[in-house]
Amino acid sequence: MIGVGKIKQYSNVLDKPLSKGKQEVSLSAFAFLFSELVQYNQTQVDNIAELERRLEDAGYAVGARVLELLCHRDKGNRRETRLLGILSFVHSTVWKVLFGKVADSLEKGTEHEDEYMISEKELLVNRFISIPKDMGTFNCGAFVAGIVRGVLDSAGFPAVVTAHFVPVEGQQRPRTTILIKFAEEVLASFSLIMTLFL
Amino acid sequence: MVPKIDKLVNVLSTADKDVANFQVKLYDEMTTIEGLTEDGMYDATTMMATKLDLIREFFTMPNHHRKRDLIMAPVGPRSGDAIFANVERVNAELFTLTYGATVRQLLTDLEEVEEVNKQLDQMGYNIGIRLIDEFLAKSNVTRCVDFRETAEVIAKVGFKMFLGVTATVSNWDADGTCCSIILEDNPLVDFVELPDTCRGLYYCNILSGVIRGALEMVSMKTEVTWIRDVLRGDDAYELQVKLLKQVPEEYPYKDDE
Repeated sequence: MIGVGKIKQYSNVLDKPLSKGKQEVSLSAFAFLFSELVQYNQTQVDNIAELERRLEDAGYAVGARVLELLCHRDKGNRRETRLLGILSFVHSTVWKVLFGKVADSLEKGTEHEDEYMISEKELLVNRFISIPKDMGTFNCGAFVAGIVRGVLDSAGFPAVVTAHFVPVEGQQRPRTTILIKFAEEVLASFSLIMTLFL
Repeated sequence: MVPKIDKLVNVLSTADKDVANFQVKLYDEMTTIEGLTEDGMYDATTMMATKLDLIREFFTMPNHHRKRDLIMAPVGPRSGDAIFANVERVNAELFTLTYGATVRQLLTDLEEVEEVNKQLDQMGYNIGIRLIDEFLAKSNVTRCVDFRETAEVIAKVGFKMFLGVTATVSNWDADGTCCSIILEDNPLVDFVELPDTCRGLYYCNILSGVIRGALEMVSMKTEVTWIRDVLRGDDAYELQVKLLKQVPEEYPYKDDE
């Protein structure tokens, strides 16, 4: 039998010590995997909306787990319970862990009270992706939108999250904006708390 | 001499991003090594080239900084560590969770565990046939003399450069066409536990597909199977790679046409 040092057996995955999250893989490895994920999903759908929905679902699964992982590891089993708290948690902590940097910007929508936007000049998942003309406004950022929705939803802030390309003047490639539209009850409970306090 | 060269390598392996800084450091360190013979210098440069990928910095140094005429070591194949240190990297957790999401999606769509195994292998194959280009471009490896060398290169350079982990090769058969690649660490399986309904699943089947696809692009037909899998209760991840056929290279065109 060949001895293998690092792998220890645990009867249960929960007994395993949580990794510190410092391990890395090459960007290409991720890009290859992501491209396969997109290509596979393309074979399962008839239209762009469906494809975006499926990528979002995949992202959702990631987001829900990221929230759990980060709350446990970085926040001592606490999670944000305020709207702005969770938004900045997504914009900074989640982004930093997943993409190695804080997101470029977090803004409040000007037209609607319940909308927030996270923008990124060059979203990691879109790095090696160019969209064929016939696929219109399709954005692989749907996967990231799914991650954001997964985090928010699991933290008790249900929202509709979508990814959009926004052209930037003087730049060849558009930036990606993740649009977060919170469900009614989120803002309702938010304003309820405000009235209770005032 | 050896400890001195080691010290040199240590100083440099702090990997300065700034090339100018880097060169100053390199120069400073080299001037402190008195009585550096040509052989010693050769060793040092070889070490730098293979271990640390520093030779490029070395080449661009002004002549008088190189202290003396050097016999430069040929730029050899780069080690997996050196390549991995130089490529862009992402957090392994993003990779792990994305892979997990992919497998989950396949399980929901395809229902049969056998079908999922097949699909994962196919995805790996698709990756492998493209990944080999990047591998050859970045690693500088030359043609392997035999399948033994090929397996070593996959384990030591391939796994390291993409996944940041190393593997070992063992269990060779007598004629050198079949061996095991044993993974010491596997970034795909963090947080994973297989439920009873997925007992037949080869969770990491994408890896076997990658190896098969990549080797096919360099004219080797192989069969890659899982022998041991920690998720299935074994004590390691072991992939058996069996060389079926070496396809002779054919040119797609004829000269006289």
